[in-house]
Amino acid sequence: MKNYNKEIAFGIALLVIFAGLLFWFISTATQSGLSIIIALLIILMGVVTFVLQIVNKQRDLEAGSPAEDEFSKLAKVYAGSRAFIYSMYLWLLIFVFNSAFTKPQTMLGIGILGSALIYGLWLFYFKTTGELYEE
Amino acid sequence: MKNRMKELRARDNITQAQLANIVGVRRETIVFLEKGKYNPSLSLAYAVAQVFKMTIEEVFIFESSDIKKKITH
Repeated sequence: MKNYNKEIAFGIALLVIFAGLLFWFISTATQSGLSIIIALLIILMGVVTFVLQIVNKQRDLEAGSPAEDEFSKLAKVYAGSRAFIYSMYLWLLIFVFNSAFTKPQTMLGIGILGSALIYGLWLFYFKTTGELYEE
Repeated sequence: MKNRMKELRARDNITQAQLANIVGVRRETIVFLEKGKYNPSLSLAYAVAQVFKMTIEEVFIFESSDIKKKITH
């Protein structure tokens, strides 16, 4: 059975660094309300995803089922590649409509949040339909 | 790619969860395999065939149309 302690420790370290950088970003510069909300949303999304992953892995370990297998790993790879392509379109749209954003930080925040959401949605699609291949 | 997993599971009276535990995958993977939505790796196909004491070809039915599709695309 795989030991997830190292993975959890690495995840916590990444989250702390990420959250620290975002808080530093919020506190040092004069930000608009929307920028702060987006930054907080990114932190919240990271924390929620991480906690959900730990809970799911623990539940799987207790049930004697592997937390990951060849299908779930492949689903992540497919979701990642699709998300990369769709994120390109998102960034393109963001830059086309950059005049709509008052601050570049807002633009970046929406881009990062959007990319993460796109990945999450594709992962959900592949894991629920199982349709990794195109006929 | 079609397969006889559901039929063979019924024959041997094995649940999807039991089969998943034996071959070391999640139950969802067995569900997608049975539906023919997911093509297993060679090692997983071998493991599944071993559970039913059969060969890979006897469990997984690779039709000639599948080969044609692969060649033409």
